[in-house]
Amino acid sequence: MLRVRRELTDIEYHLCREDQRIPRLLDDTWQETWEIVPHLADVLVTIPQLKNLQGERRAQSFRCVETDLVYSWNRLNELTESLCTSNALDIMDIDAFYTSRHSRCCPRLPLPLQPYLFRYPSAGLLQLMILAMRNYIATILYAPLRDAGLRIELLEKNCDEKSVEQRACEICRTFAALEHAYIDAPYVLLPTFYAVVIVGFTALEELRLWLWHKFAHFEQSGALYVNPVKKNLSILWNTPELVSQDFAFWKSRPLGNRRSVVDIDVIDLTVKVADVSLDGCQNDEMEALIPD
Amino acid sequence: MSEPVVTVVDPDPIVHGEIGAIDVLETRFCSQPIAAILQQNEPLVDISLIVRCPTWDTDNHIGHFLAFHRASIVAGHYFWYFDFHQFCTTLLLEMAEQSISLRYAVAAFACLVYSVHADRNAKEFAFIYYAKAVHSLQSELNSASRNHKDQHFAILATALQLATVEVSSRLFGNADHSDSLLIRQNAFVIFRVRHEFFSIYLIPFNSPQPPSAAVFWSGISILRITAALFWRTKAYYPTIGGKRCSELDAN
Repeated sequence: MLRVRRELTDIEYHLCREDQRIPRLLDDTWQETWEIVPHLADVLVTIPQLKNLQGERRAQSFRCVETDLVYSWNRLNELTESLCTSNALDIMDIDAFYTSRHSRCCPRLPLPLQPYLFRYPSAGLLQLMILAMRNYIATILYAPLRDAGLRIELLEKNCDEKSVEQRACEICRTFAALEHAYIDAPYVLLPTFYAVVIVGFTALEELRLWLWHKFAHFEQSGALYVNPVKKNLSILWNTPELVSQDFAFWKSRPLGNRRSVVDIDVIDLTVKVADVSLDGCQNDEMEALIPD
Repeated sequence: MSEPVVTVVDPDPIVHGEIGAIDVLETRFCSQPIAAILQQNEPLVDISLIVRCPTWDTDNHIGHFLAFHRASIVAGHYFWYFDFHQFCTTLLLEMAEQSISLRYAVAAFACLVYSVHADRNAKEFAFIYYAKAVHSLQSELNSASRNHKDQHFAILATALQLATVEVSSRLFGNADHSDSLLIRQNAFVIFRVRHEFFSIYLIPFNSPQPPSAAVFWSGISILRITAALFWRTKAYYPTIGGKRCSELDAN
């Protein structure tokens, strides 16, 4: 599919009107980004099995995981590079624009973080997703492998705690800019919830309050669509009380930083919770899966 | 045939707070106390499973929900990040004008979103339209000509739209899961659409595992990519060396 699409791009891109080139590039890059998702899904379902495998079978499964992760990471690098080369991620000068929009309902981003102002906000959406996918690989997929003693050289260089935190800050800056750009069309931001959730997997305590307020906005927009994610977060953050209240409730009393160690057991548990949600299991059954 | 005898209690004791709902059920519909029925271990009809007839004529209101879709629904509602071709806001509605099943499927999704924004009761309509879309889709699948590409696009779009309703009904809080049977029925229809028209383009997963949530989501996104490709191929095939869809299929 992508091969045909690339052929089309080679032919058509130069025929596009000047103002259509960046949108066209973004459209193509989005499709290239989605191509990575099945690789990550494969890794996600393979990780819980690793703990039950031994010897050559375990090594073979790990090699598959390694191939998928290295491929995904390199593809994300290439996609970011192509966006930068084409100036799609150009940033405009800003002067404290952020205070005029969400200043009444949300706290400011903790200093020295300042939101970006993209020349093409839709490119910011793509940047947000690419950053989130990187941190997803680092914190959800690679961290449990490293915890189990399985190392991947490429990711060792890029997935240390400092790099993850830097990318988390970038996600917040990007999201704040998008929130500003789409203030009159908030539903454009609905899909970005999953990217913002990824920030929660970092240890940056100073971002926590800002994050709660954003989650509360998402909850207002989509009612229960936040709940499946909230259930997973309650496990990953080791905060079972999260499920019992709206995010708005926690605005005034943000939960302490009680992040669980993301190991293979936690990933296994969250995958089970996701399955349970799709099968229509009731809350009490879900709660039985959550350890005390 | 004689009319069933229904005891009418007037004035309504529920309104006046004199008796509870169980008492009214017993008075109006049961020949003996409910507690006694429960003790008999006889199967009871689950009231939640009885399909309620809406008070509105659904076909008369489909235009309202399609208009709501046109005016208020954006790509973000479909969890699309970027809609370069304005598929969600324009093209989908144009396609729906040519296909009955797609029209119902689009209306079903619009009802779901409407139920979040405006009126919770609209959710009932969503599942009525959903059922009508599945029924129409089955008819179209049986009569579809394999050489008629436009028909295939509409069928694929309907299957995708129904899948969107399935996911969204969970996201937007269909707490009682009363849609499950219908959705399972549609899963077979979608399976058939995928394998009859697009099997050579489906990407197999490496892991021979039962489908997880992640795989389910990926499957939907792959199906969407397939649809996007076919739509673009239809629009642009002369530019890729004059190849036609059938030639691409053969490759």
